[in-house]
Amino acid sequence: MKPLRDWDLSCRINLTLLVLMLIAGGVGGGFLYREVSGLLSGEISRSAQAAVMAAAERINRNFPVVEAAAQEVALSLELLHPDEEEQFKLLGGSFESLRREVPALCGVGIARLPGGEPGAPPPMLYVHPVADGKIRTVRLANAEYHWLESDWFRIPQLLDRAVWTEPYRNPYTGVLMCTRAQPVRDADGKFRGIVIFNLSLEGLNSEVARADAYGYGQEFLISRFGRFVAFPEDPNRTQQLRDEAAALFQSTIFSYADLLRERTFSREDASDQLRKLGRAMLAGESGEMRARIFNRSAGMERIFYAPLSNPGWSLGVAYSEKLLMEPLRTLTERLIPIALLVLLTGLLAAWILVRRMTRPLGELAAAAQSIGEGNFNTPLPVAKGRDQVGCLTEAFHGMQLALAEYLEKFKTSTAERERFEKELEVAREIQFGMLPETPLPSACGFSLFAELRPAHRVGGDLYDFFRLDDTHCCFTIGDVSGEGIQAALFMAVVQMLQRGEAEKSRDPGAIVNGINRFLSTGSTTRTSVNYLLGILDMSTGIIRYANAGLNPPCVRRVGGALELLTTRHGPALGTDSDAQYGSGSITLAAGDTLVLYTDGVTAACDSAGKAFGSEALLRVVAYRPESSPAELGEKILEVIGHFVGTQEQADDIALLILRFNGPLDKGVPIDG
Amino acid sequence: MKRIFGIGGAIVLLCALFAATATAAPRRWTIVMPWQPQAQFAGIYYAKEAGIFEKHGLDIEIRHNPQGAPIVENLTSGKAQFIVAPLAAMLVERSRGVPLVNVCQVNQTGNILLVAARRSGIVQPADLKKPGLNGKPLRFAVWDSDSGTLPLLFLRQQGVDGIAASPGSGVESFLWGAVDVISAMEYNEYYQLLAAGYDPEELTVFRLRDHQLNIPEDGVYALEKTAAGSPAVCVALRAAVLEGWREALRNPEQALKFVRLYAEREGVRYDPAQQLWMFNMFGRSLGLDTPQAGTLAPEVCDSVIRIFRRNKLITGDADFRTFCPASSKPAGGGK
Repeated sequence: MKPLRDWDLSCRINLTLLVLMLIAGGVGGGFLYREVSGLLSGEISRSAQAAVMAAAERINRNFPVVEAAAQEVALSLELLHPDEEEQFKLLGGSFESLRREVPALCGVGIARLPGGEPGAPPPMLYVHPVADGKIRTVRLANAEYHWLESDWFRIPQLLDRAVWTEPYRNPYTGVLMCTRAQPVRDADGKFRGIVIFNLSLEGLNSEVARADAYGYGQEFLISRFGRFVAFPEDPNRTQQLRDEAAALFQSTIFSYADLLRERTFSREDASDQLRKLGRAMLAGESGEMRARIFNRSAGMERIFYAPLSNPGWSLGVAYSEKLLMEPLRTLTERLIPIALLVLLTGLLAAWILVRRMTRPLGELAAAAQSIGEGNFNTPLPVAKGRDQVGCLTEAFHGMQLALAEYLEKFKTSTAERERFEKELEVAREIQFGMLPETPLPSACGFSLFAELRPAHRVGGDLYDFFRLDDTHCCFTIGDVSGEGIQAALFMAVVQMLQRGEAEKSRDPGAIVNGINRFLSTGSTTRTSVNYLLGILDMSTGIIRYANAGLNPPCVRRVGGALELLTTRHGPALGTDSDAQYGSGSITLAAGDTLVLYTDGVTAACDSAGKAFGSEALLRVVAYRPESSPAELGEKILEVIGHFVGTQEQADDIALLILRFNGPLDKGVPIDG
Repeated sequence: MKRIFGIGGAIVLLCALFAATATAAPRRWTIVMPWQPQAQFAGIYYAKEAGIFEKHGLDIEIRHNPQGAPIVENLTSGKAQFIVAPLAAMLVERSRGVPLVNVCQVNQTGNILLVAARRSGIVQPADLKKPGLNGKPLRFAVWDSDSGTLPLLFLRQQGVDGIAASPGSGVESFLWGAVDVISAMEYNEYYQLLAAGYDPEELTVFRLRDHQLNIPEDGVYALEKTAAGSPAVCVALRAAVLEGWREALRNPEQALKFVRLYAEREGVRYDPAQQLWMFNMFGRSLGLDTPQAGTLAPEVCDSVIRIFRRNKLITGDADFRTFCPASSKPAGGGK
């Protein structure tokens, strides 16, 4: 698989877009889900809590009414001391007046301690409804119904206050009920008995079911000590819970918690949570808890609870969190395909757009490749519009035209340059052709080494030597200012002039004056020539010379002593038409060597820009005093070559070395 | 004449066969539990329902004693031949002259507790004779049944006298705060307190077995004449009861189904968690893996008699040999 950077540009852009859209969608969707979930959850909390509190209040409503009635009956008994018949009337009247308001009322009665006469207690009087809306009065002896041992009698007796009993089954009818047990006292305030008002709890399920705000909650009502009082049918129950529902009435919320712990399918935290919930409910608190208790297969539940203040009971509703959040899940399930559709549409649009944008780029790239292969006339794609791609195409088109034009010019200039190079080569051949050949014939009384190394194809330096007569020989060396063709032509002129002027006179100063006059007047350029002309008398070794601005020549005497001829007889040629050049002379003994050189020798620079210098030159000259001109010349050029290294030669080099071999008649051998 | 003899002989033969069949049919024995069905009797239910009694050649009918009726009357009236009852009460009955004997000692360790709410300031036995945090005397609820003997004895040993036994379990009174201390079986009432929302750390528990009163409770009792007349039945009954418990502990789920069956038959409340607790706790006190299983140790019996005599709970005759005539012959099921 190709690395990503080598993928097609449109693919990369689309992939990047897809990733960015997925990230943005994920983050945005997650945030939105969280926010909506929070809002929904809060709303559920409020509604569910309100429903459970309202239901608790509704159920609780009956209890104060019954409490007041029981208290009223007890007070009548304490104050009026009615006989048995009147007591039945009192109970019957109270029952009749209350049964419409409290339909769950299933009996009222009076039970007493033994007292007064010795032996058994007086009978318990009881009134309860029978068929056709009639009521029945019953007299019970303690032997039949051991009320003295019953909790509904003993607890208020021990506590000396009225209580709502825990739910219990009527031993005769089996009806699940609870009792309001109101103590009756005698005139001394001593406990004498209990007035009971029994409430059936059988019809409570429908009331309790109204606590369910959403229709799929599991409601439950627990008593003061955690017994299940009501546990209405719920269609969303698991089979397990359905099987257990009847048994729950035998349990408390805490023993059910232990049962959860014992079950292999249950988890310990469910048991702990249920126990915690039970403690909160029994403490009379209202609130909400998240736990996994009743509807275990459906995951977590949210349980809302509120107290029934009068009997000290508590009402709760457990909702499956999954069902509570169902609307959000449904919304999410609907939104996800829509979001995916939007994402795909966006990607498709982006793909089309990117393809439209990148196609001209591809065509441009192909055209550029073709142009790169030399097909300068390759047609470019037509720019549509003035967008960046259009501008790029236009700029590319301009570049293509400019490139073609440049290449045409380049061809022309290359041809011109080639011609020029050829001409320069001719000029070089001509220039070098103008130089005298060395060595001189053996009849000469001196040895000579001369070298010209132009910095470019042609140069402005010159040297020359020629015989004037049998005993005199003229030699020159010069350095034309500037370089290249102009300097070379100027050099040629000087070369011709010096020979012409030397025909006229044997005085170096006069010869140089003649040359200077011609150069100063005949030239429109400001070209000058540092120049030296000398005439050697081969019979005596006397050299007469005129120095027009050239570096001081050096004489190496036999034995190695060096002598610089520092006298200059005028400025460089061509700089002053009125200049009058004189001349000087020096006598060479046999073996003395005269070294003449131009600026190119001492001004040669190394890679650091440091000049070779005249001192270094003198050291080379003095190195081997016995060396011939050729040996010395080669050595000087070798040392300069080493000094310069890879640096390009910057100036023309001219070097002329002459050794006097002695007067001709003495016949010094020529070593040339 | 021959014919008459022939018919007469056939009739005599048929009568003889009928008589033989009638005498060979096993006798039905009745055993009475001291109160309503619960997991305390799971082993006996298991022996009955799983055919263990039959396997031991016994035809047993199980009944439950009505609340408040003295259990011993079942034996003395001849309504039953065996009863399940607590050791302490039966020793007292024996000393009063009821000729009953211990046929099988079902459990080996005592389960009786006194329980107080820690918030009432009771943390050690010495606190039982002090006034409550409100300055008033502590209120006690101790069983008025046969099981009440030992808690009252314990209280007396702690210097708390004059406590009258009260009807009912006392759990409800305790929950309402009407009493401060109640007697409780660890396998029964104690769990009812936990099931009403108490955490164990909120309760102070005095286990009588930790205070020199480790007196086992349930045993199977019969009159002397029954034990003497049908010793094999007594031995078989003991073996069957022990085997019933062993099997029940091996198959707790099935055992509790039998308990539930009996509870439903009698129409009593069956809280699965409470019964499971009871089954486990009571099963732990059986000592089935000890050589003593099913028998009353003479030293235990003598020690109880000694304590009871010292506290004047026993004044008449009572000794191990007459109380447990069969204990010198350990049951075949004991391991």
